[in-house]
Amino acid sequence: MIGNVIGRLLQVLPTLFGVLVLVFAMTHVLPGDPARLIAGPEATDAEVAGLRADLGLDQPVGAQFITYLSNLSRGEMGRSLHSNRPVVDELAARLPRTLILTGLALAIMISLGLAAGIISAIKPDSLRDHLLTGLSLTGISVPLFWLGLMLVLVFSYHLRWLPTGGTSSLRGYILPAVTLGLGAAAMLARLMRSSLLDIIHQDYIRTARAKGAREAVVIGRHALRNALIPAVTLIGLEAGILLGGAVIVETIFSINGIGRYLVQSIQYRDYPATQGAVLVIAVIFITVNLLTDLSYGLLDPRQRRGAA
Amino acid sequence: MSLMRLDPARGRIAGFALPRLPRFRALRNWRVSLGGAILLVVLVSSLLAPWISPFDPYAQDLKAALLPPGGSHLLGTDEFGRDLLSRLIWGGRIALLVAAVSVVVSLIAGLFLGLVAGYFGGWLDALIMRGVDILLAFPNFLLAIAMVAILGPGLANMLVAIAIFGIPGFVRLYRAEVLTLKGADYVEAARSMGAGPWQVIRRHILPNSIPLVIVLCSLRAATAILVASGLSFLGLGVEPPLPDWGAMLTNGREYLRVAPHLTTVPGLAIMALVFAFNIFGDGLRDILDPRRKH
Repeated sequence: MIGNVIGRLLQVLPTLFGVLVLVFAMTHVLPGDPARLIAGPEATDAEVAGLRADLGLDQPVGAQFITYLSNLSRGEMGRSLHSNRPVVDELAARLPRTLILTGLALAIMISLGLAAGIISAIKPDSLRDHLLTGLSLTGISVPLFWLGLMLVLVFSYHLRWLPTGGTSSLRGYILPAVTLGLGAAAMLARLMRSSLLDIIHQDYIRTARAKGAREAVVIGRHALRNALIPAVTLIGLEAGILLGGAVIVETIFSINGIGRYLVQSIQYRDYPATQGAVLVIAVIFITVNLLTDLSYGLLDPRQRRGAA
Repeated sequence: MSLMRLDPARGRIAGFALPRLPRFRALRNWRVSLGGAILLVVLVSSLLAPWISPFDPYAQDLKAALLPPGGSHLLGTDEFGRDLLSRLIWGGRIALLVAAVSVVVSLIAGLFLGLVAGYFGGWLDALIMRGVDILLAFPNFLLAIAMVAILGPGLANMLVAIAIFGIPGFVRLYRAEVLTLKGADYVEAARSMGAGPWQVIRRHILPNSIPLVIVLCSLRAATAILVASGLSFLGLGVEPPLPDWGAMLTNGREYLRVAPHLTTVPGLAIMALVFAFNIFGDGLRDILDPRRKH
């Protein structure tokens, strides 16, 4: 098991390095000269040249990359061009909100998605199966931002049950988290249904039933455990969809998280901030996928022995 | 992870074996027929937009701003008094353009890279798949946003971003399919009879992977439209005054209380089109691979 964990950690390193190269490269393919961008339109050529030297932009690209890495290792991501504050501080202040939002959405996705998938698969082709299948098909087709606006229209404007945003209390997170979690739940429900149905037709399930095991035991102990393996993969992948979706949801509900920060920094052409936000989101995503990979070992004993 | 695998018994050993796409059976599948019908409506109305749209989609009439649906403006008007139905019909063109560009680019690049990686293996496979891993390490919507951040907003740049971000997923799925097909008995047989790699690819791998490719394209189109509308919504995609569904929704957002139809209508349009691509792909998968009917 420990060997497995170390092996996976080593596999992540090249990906992480590639992500760093890409994020670093973002500024080098940006149209325009970053130094001129920072100096502003009124700066003289000499000022721009001075700034370029200060920022190390006159160095060869390789040397700049090494500087970038060593800065990162000291937790430095430069200063925001817009606010002139360290990007790290700005990101750190916003990270908890994004984590609360995506965490709640993940909880909604897992509870609703698994429940709907299991209910559908236990009685395929029943009315409730068709109903849930139709709902989940609609769920994966709804644009997130539209769902968010419709929820605001109904629950905030008409019914006045919930606030349209604000993060001072958990109540403010309800609508955003539901918006973000529903589509992902629909995707999980579809996968859970199909993988459970595949498994229910297998021999060992028939054997369990033939031995007289109760249906709850057959599904709960035998089928579900195996059906959960693809579901866990999807949960890892969907963490990415949730993080990407958080960008939109934070914008709709005015949540000052990393997603909204990213959109604003793109609009201000604030490239250190853009770089920092992209990097943080990618690192969270890689970490979540690493954790889901490692969790296979808990679900599937074959993985524990095989990969060690 | 392969979305579907063809029954090797159906693949033929010799000749250009195009797997049968059972046309009539396809129409009996409600998903294919409903999805196909919606797609057809959007396609035909987009093509006929200049003739069937009741008003000029750009014509402003401030005296008729924010009219509710009904009357001479069937779906109402926006804040500039532009006819919503006309903008909706013209907007279909942009949605379909996004879907088409994304599908074609992911298809060409994905097929090529997936084939090279899956069939030839070795260091090329390792190189391509590491690249794919790195791109997939970004949440896909983030990748599109990052590319727009580099290229700048606008329809053309958005098309580039959406086309590129679809490639890595396609490569991974197609490579898995190529690996499966490559191991099939009839491919082994062809190789042992002296068929070269190009011949095997052309006569066996490509034709037998067509069903998977069709399904992937349909689902890809659905994702592309969702991502494009998301970008437009954030102000990073199509810019006004182009009649894009996502951008229309963004404008309507300010009038959510007074004119909810401005957000409801384009939202429903996006949902219907994405839904159509999704069920079309789902239905085709059921027909082409009966073992995965669930």
